[in-house]
Amino acid sequence: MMEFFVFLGNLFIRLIRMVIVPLVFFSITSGVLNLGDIRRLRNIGVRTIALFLLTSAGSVSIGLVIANIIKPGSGIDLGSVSAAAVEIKELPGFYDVILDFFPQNPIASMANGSMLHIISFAIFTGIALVMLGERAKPVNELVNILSETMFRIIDIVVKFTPYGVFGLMANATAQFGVEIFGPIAKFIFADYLAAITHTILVLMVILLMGVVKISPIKFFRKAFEPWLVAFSTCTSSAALPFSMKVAKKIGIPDENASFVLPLGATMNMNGTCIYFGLIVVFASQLYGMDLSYGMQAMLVLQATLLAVGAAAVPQIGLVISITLLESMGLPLEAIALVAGIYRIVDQIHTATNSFGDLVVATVVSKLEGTFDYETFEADNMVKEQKLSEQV
Amino acid sequence: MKKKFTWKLYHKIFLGLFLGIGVGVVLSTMGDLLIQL
Repeated sequence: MMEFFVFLGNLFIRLIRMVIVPLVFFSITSGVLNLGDIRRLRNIGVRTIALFLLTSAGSVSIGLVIANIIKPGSGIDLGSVSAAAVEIKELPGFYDVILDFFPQNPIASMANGSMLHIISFAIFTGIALVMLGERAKPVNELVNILSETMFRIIDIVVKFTPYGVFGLMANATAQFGVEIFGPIAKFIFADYLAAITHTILVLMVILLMGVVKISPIKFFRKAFEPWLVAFSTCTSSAALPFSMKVAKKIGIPDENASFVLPLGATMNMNGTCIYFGLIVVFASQLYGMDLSYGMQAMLVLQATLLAVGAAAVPQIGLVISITLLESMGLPLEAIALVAGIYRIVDQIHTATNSFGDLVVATVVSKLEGTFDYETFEADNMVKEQKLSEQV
Repeated sequence: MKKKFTWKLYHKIFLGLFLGIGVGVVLSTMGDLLIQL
């Protein structure tokens, strides 16, 4: 029985992975082509990365505040937990991070699914095609059609989502069972509370209501599908095709969505940053150590840069948190405690990351003056009816 | 006039999510019970 659920979940993730590499490549290339102006691309890039940094710093701070209020680490008996089980991995240095933006061999990067490499190669291809002008017109047409084709494949794959989500959740819940009600329950609660606070306060109230001036409830209803997919798969890249699909309904122009969303799936870790704040305070509480305000401020800076700089691979949050604890001289037993239930908290991290990507794409469009308020306000039902009439 | 309910994709995903959690909880409790027996 369990094998069948695992199969359902894996089949769903594989169907999505099948389309991600060509989708990201063609949609970014077509996005840059449709922008037609390299200066606009630079503006979008700078604004996107600035927003990723700001929202990430906000989420580390919220994680810290919630951890200081709820105190998830106090009263836990460490018992037989040992830091020896924690595998320490080195994070790359500054120059390596920059080097890692560019592929040595774009075909090999596509074969390996290295997102940052694919993104940078697609941007270069798009810019080169813009520079070629009229001569590149047939290729431009082809790229636009191929990008549309990938979206059609997603339309087919999307129909399988409920079954995939069912399989993934059944497997995950059966594995963890009652473990989530143990001493670590307070940590899980604090993590979910911090993620929800960040989503409501920073993403919905400050950015959507304050900057874009739209209804956050309506936005969340439209962005609900990618949120759910991210929540159940724990993979930002699995939610990416869904985000790109709903971006059209939200009113984010294609050229912005095709650039900001894939970049967000690799660089933006709003949700994971919440966990960085939490785990550091959690570790200090386990040992009754006090974290000074200076150390906490330093942590906000360090965690933000690490989160934006590190590549998005599954469970990267665990690797970064080990580096953070080590650099602050805190014991690694906290990681050993949390590693067992990491998937449960990673669900809300990934969902927050993916929702954050859509919010950032919306804010960037608003700042660019290209956000389509009419599409956002339009009722889905009316649009869907019109579409089905056309078919 | 009462609006007729139509199944949308997110309704189905939600259903899959909760059914999955339910089945998972049942399976894990069954496993614990079997170990105790």
